[in-house]
Amino acid sequence: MKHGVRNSIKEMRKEKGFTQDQLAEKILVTRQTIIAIEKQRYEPSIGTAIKLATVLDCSLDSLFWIEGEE
Amino acid sequence: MNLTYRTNFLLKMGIPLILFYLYFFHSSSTATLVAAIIATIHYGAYGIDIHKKGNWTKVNLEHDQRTRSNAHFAGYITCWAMIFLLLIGSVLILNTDIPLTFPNLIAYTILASFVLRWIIRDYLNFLPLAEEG
Repeated sequence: MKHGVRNSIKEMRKEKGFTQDQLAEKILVTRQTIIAIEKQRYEPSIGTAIKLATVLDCSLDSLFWIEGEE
Repeated sequence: MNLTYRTNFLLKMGIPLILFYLYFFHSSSTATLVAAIIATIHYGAYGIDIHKKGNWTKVNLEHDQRTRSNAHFAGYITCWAMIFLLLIGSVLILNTDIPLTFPNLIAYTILASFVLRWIIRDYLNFLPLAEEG
């Protein structure tokens, strides 16, 4: 990804037992968008990121971080 | 705009209806009848699928921030492609014996731009699915 933003959506989603379809439905995006985010090919908007953190029940900084930063 | 599955289903009814209308009132070609039958089968399968999944009242999510930005990007590329095509076409019309008039050039460019925009937009939208395999 261009800016080195990484995420752990896939791991968190699997931990919660959601499918990509279920997660997409909960945060009102398409399944393709979930795939693109998980593959680190698309950076979601702050609104989508907050929704993801809420649905996956974790903090934003545990879900998204900039590569190389603590 | 995201519509519910029910609204999508009702809107999609138009395709087989138009095809059957064309077959019975305009062209009685076999190809039109085959297309109408295929569209009807496809429409029925779509309805059964919605019913099985109990999705009638749910929103069919086809558009979000990513797909909208893909559409904007496709529009941007198409805009430059149109300008380029018009320039090349104009030069050709003025300097060669190409059998093309300016209204034709404009019409073809508009049609080509619609097709190009759809292709780029859908390619970008469904790229993640293709990559996933």
